[in-house]
Amino acid sequence: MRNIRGANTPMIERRSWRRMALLALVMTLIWGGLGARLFYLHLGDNAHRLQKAENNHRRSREILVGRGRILDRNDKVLALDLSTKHVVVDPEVVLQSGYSRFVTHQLARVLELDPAMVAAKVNRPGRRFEYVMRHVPMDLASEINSMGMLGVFFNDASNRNYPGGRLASHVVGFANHEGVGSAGIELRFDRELRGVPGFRMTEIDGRHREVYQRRTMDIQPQEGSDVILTIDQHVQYFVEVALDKVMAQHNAKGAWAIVQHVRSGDILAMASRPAYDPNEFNRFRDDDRLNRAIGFVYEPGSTFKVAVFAAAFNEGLIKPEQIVDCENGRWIHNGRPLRDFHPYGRLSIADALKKSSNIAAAKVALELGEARLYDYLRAFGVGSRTGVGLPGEEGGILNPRSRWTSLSISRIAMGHEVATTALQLVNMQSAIGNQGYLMKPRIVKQVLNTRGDVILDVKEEVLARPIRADTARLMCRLLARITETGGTGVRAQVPGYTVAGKTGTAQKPTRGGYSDDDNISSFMGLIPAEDPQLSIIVVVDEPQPERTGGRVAAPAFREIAEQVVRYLDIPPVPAEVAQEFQSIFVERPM
Amino acid sequence: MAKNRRKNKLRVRSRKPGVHAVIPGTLFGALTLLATFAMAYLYICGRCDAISKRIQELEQQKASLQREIVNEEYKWSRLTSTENMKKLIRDHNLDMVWPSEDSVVRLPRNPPPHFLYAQHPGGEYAHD
Repeated sequence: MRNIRGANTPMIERRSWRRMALLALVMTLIWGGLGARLFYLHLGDNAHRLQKAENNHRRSREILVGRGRILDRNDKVLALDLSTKHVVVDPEVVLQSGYSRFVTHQLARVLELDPAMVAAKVNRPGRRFEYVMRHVPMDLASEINSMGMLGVFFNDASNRNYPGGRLASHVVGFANHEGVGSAGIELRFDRELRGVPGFRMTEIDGRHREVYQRRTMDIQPQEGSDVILTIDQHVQYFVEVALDKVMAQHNAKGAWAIVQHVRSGDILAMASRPAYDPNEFNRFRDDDRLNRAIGFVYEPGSTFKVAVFAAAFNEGLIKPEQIVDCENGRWIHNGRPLRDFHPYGRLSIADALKKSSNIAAAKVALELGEARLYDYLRAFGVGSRTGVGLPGEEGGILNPRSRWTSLSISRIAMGHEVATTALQLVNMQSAIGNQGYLMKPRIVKQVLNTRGDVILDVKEEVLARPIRADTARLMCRLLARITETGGTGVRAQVPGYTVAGKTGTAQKPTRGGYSDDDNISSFMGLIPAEDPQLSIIVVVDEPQPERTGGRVAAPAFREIAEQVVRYLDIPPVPAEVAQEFQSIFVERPM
Repeated sequence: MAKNRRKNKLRVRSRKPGVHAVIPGTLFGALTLLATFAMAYLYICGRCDAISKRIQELEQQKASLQREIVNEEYKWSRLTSTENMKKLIRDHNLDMVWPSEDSVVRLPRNPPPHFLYAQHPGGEYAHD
């Protein structure tokens, strides 16, 4: 036994030793390999690996901010960025859950969609992502979420929203799907509204959660500023309703109106028809998106006579009671006939204005002379942009005197051979109501940042003073006669108030002349005439079958003025002021 | 010097044979200090974690509240739009007409008493 053991033991020990050595060798090789690899990874050429590792957990992103709001003068929201959700389904999960009919029914019910359309999106085996509806309000998304349906999830989104829809759409404008202002105030104040995006550089953990301590850079975004307009949402509504009515009543091609505060030049309402909904801006034509109040240049017709008469009164060339021969409605001037709508014989200047005689206006303009007429028109802002601050504003057309023909002066006097925008005319009228001071029309009051600091404060600005205060007051009195019995603007009367205004019926130019059927009818007025607070203009394009400003635009003016004076609580002037106003010019029997 | 040597000899002699200090005092102190620093570090790390989580929560809460404010503002502006008010007035049969100008009594800014009180036919004053 001993021998056997003695003979075997060394062999076993030798084998064991070999095994141990082999194991040690293998372990040494493994650990040596790992060590070498580790050594290589840490100290070798590892730049790209380090970069890759860093990229895996480092995140840098821009922090986007919403656009600022657009508010009316009473801080009512006209445009804002709204947080929404995209409702998404995972068809495979929904189908596997066996509740596809329930999911379809509930989504269609809550989102008010066609069930067949929802079913078509849900029943798509193999698909993992289908939008059911984009930009769903948060409330509806919460309602869907509370149902706990498998395979239905949400993506955060944000979109520009205009709560008023078409209300003031031409003024507010719209921002496109990339969030870039593309019309109106949205375009003009795009930089201020857009704000400055922030930037964050940080790291994430294995579960893609941010490791806050590893934020190496955190630049906070600057939210977009708020733009406060001079528009009053309620006044805007009154105007838009009146325009819709006039469009329907007179089968008009278009209509537009402006309400301006006389003293400050603030635009309280500016509306244009046809209109568009900025929430769905791409569904409308360019023509619908045109703000005709500032972008449509037209020959104003008789409303323009106001400037001509005001200039002549200011120069002391005419007096209200002075007699002018209206040539029984037809007068040949420089070999070309000039006609009145109704034939008149001898009229006082006051009556010629009241009856809107073209012949009288031409004679007054001739009395004034080309040079003075041109200067006055320029001083009233004709032919140049008002600078209201809205994109797309036109400056109108007033040819330089060198291009006037011998007939020009008589044609310009009746509002032809000259083209203006409604804004220019209403501003000119406001100057008459504002003791001759021509104010710069203001549509943006302030721009405020998110802390409420004023970034831009648009001040009232006097552009010029084309006429004296006494001339302005006389003009108000004479224009008030136009809405009295026998005047062309009787339909503009507002019970309890005196309205000073002027009608306009201009033939539209066609190739080689003027159209006999298509007119632009307008009425512009000041209320109350004794102490003007508001200046309003209504323009109707191609009304049918009634075509005159007195019949088409004056009633719309009345509808607007009646509601606005009550809403703004503008009282009629006291009796003594009214009496003093009446005494400026007393009609004498001829 | 001789006195000190004697003291040291006595100290060596007073130690039991075979008994030694496991960790030298200086090392012990250093380790304790290190451990304290490590514990403090861990505590601060934990606090930082907790605070950062709280900050993130608050950031999310702020964003969500901002979204809510905007949504409420949107709903409010829809509710108070002139169009909706008119519709509600119509729906509830509250549609009214404006009074004619001669039916309106306008008061001056600082009205004298006779403006505020209308005289009854019987001679008494009633609040207008």
